[in-house]
Amino acid sequence: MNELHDRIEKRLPFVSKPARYVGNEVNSIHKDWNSVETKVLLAFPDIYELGMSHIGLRILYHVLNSDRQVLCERVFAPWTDFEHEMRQRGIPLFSLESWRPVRDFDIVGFSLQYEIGYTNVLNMLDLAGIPLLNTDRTEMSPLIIAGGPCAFNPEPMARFVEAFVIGDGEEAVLDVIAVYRSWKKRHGTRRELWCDLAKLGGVYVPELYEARYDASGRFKSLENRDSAAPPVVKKRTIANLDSAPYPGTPVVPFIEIVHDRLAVEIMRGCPGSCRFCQATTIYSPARERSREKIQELIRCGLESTGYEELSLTSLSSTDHSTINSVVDWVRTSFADRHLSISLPSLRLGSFSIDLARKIAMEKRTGLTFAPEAGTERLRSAINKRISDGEMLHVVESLFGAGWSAIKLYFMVCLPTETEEDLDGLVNLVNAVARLGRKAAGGRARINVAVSAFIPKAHTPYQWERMADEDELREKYLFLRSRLRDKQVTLSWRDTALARLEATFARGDRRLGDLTLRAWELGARFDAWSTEMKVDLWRKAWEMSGIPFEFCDVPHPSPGDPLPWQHIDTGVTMSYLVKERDDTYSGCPVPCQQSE
Amino acid sequence: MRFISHLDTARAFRRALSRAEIPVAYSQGFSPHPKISLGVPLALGHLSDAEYADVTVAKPIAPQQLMERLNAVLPKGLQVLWAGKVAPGAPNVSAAITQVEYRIMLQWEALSDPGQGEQMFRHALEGFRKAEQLVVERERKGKIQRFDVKEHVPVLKLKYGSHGIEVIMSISVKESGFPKPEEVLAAVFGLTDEQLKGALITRTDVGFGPISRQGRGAGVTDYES
Repeated sequence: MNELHDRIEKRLPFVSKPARYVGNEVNSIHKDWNSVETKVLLAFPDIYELGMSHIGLRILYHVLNSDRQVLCERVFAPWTDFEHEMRQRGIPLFSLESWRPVRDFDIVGFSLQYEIGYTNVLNMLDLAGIPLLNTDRTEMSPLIIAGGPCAFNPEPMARFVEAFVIGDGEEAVLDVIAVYRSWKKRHGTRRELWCDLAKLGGVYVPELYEARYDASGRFKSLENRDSAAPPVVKKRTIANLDSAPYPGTPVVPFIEIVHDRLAVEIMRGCPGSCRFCQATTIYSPARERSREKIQELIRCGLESTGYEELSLTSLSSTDHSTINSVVDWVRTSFADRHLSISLPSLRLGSFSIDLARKIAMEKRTGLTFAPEAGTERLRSAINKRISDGEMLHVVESLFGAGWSAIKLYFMVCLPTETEEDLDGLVNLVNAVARLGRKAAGGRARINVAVSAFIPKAHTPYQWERMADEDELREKYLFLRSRLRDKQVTLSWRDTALARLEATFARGDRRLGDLTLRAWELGARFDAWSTEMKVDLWRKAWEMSGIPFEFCDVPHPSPGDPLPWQHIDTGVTMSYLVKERDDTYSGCPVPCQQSE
Repeated sequence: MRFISHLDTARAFRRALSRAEIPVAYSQGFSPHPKISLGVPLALGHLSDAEYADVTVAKPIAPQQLMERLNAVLPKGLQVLWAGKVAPGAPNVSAAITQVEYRIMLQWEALSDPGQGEQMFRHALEGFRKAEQLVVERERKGKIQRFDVKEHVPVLKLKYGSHGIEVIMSISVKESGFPKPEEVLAAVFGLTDEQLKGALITRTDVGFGPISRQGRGAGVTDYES
C-alpha cells in the first residue's frame, strides 16, 4: 500500500458513507496503469449516488475501457465532510478505482448534467491541484473536457473547460483520445492541442474564440481567434443505437444509489415536441434501440449484475414502438426472478393504462405523470396536448386497477399563462383527488410537484422571460391556498435555485467570473437545498460587477445575438421562431411531424 | 468490504446469489423476498473472518457447489469460507449466535494522548478485573440503554507490541442487546471517539453456545481475562 492509500484509508472511518470513495464494485474495471497509453478519468460533479445513476457516465466508462490502450476510471464530488478531511490532511482528489491523484491522468472529462453543479467542478479541480482556468494550465496538467446537456450552452464554463464535446459522446471521446495521443507523441504545445481538437467536429474549444459585448453590456458576438476554430460547432449524433456500444455488464454499486437498478436505454431523443423542453432538441432526432438489442442487453445485464429491478429508460418510454412486446418478453422470460420493471416516463394517454398494469404486476404503489399545465388551452400552447377528459379517464382507470398514489408535475409561469390556467390546475388536481378518493378512499395520495418554467437555450422559449422570485412565490402560495384537499400534497422547488438555474441556462462567458467568486466564497453542492447559500451568491453577484440579471432581460427578441448560437443542434432557428409564434397564436403542431 | 455497511453487504450477497444462479427460495405473499438471513450485524468499518448467513434454497444444491459458484461471482473482499446444511428445525443463524469475538489493533501513533502508554492500559485492565460492574449507557432515539460490560465481556486480553496493542475481546450476544467493542474499549480504557475510529477491528469468530450448529464456530467460551 502506498503512502496516499494509507492516508485515505485512515480518514475514511471519520466520514459519512465511506463506500462512496472505495470503489471495487462488481463489474468495475481495474487496469494496469503502466500497460496502457492513455489514462482517462470520468468526473461527475456531484455525489456517487447521483453520478452512478447516470447512464451517460456508464456508457462512456464502457466505451473507453473497451479500448485496450485506454484506462478509464471514475471520480465523484466528495461530500463536504470528506472535503474537509482531504483539505486538512493534504489528500488530493483521487480516482475511485486505483486511488490515484486526479492530476496524474491524461484527460479528465466532466459530465455537466445540470447548471447548478458548476461550483462543484471548480471545487474538484481545486482539490485535484489542477489550475482552474484553462489559460493557467501547463503541459503537466490533464486536459479538461466536458460534455452532457449543459455543454449546449457552454459559455458559463468556457474559462474552465478546454474542450466541450457536443452531443452523443460514444464516438467523439475516442476521436478526442486519438488527437490527444498524436499530440502527446509530437510533444506539442497546449495551444496546438486545442487547435487539433477544434478541427474534430462536434468539439468546441472556447479559448479559440473571444466574446464581445455592446456598450450596454449585452452579448454581441463570438469572434474566432484562430483559423482552426469553426464558426459553428455541429453536435455529434449516433445514427444507429443498435450498433452503438452499451454496457452489457454494468457496475453494481454497493450502496443504494438513486436509480438502483439495471437501466437499459431503449430510445434516445423524444418524438414529442413540447416547446419548453430542451431535451427534445438537443437529443433529436428520436432513435429507438431494436427489440432484439434491448432483449440482449436485459439478459446480459441481469445475468452479470443480479439486479432485482429493471428500468427501460428514455425520455418517453411509452412511445417506443415495441414497448409492449418488450415488457411481455421480460415478464415471461424472467418470471421466476420476481423482477420489478419501471418505466421512468409514462405518457399521460390511454395507451399507458395497459402498460402500467403490465409493468406493475404485484406492487401498484405510485405512478408519475407530467401534464405540465392546468388547462387544455395552455397545454396546447406549449404543445403538450392531452385533453382534461382523457387525463381523467387514465387516472380513473389506474385508481380502479389498484394504484393509490399519483404524482403530477406542473410548471408555473409558462409563456401565456393567466389566472385561468392556475384555476384550471387547481380544478384538475381536485378532480383527480375526487377520483382517487372514490376508488382508494383515504389511501389515495395525489402528490403535486410544481416548478418554475425555466427558459432554456435551443428551445422555442429561449427568448422568454424568467419569472422573478416574488411572482413564483405568489403563484405557489395561491396554489397552496386553493389545494386544500386532504389527499393532496403540494411541493415546490426553491425559487432562488430556479433563478440561479435560469441564469446559467442562458448565461454568457462572464458568468465564469460569478462562479469563480461564488466558489471562493464557499459555494458547493448548490443543487442541494441544504447546502445552497443564497446570500453568498448575491454577494458573488455584486462582486462580479455583471451589469444585469441574465434571467430578467436576456435576449428579448428573435434576431438578437445569442451566446450559444455557435452551437448547432440541427434544429433550425426558423423552426424555433415559428414554434414560439405558434405559442402566442394558439396554433398547435401535430406531435410527430414537427421537425 | 470494510467500508460497506451490513445492509449493503446483505444486498451484495443477495445479488451474488442471483448471479451464481443459486435457486434461492422466496417468501410467499404480497411482495416476495428471497429467504436469506444474516447473523449479528457487522458495524461499518469493521473487518470480519466470521460472518454467517442462512440461505433457503428452492431446489437442493450441494454445499460445496454453492460455495464454489458464489465465490466465482462475489465482489473482491467477500468470500465464502465454508458452507454446510443446517439441520431441519435448527434456530436461524441470528438466534443461534451467543458470542462474538474480536481482535482489535490499536496503533501507538493513534494513541497520542500523554499517559496512554502500556502502563495505563495495564492499570485500567487491572481495574476492570477487580470491578464489580462497569455500566455503559447508549442513547438511541431518546431511549437510554444500559449494559454491564462486566457481565457481557467474558474475555479481554491485551498483547503489547512495538507498533501498538492487540486486544482480544469476546462479547456475549443477548436478545435484549449487547455493547459494541468500541463501547467496551471506551469504558475500560477511556479511549476517545477519535482513537476508536482509528482502531482496526476484526471480528474473528462467533460462538453458537449451547445450541450446536454443524461445522465451524461451536463452543468458544473457555477463557477469561
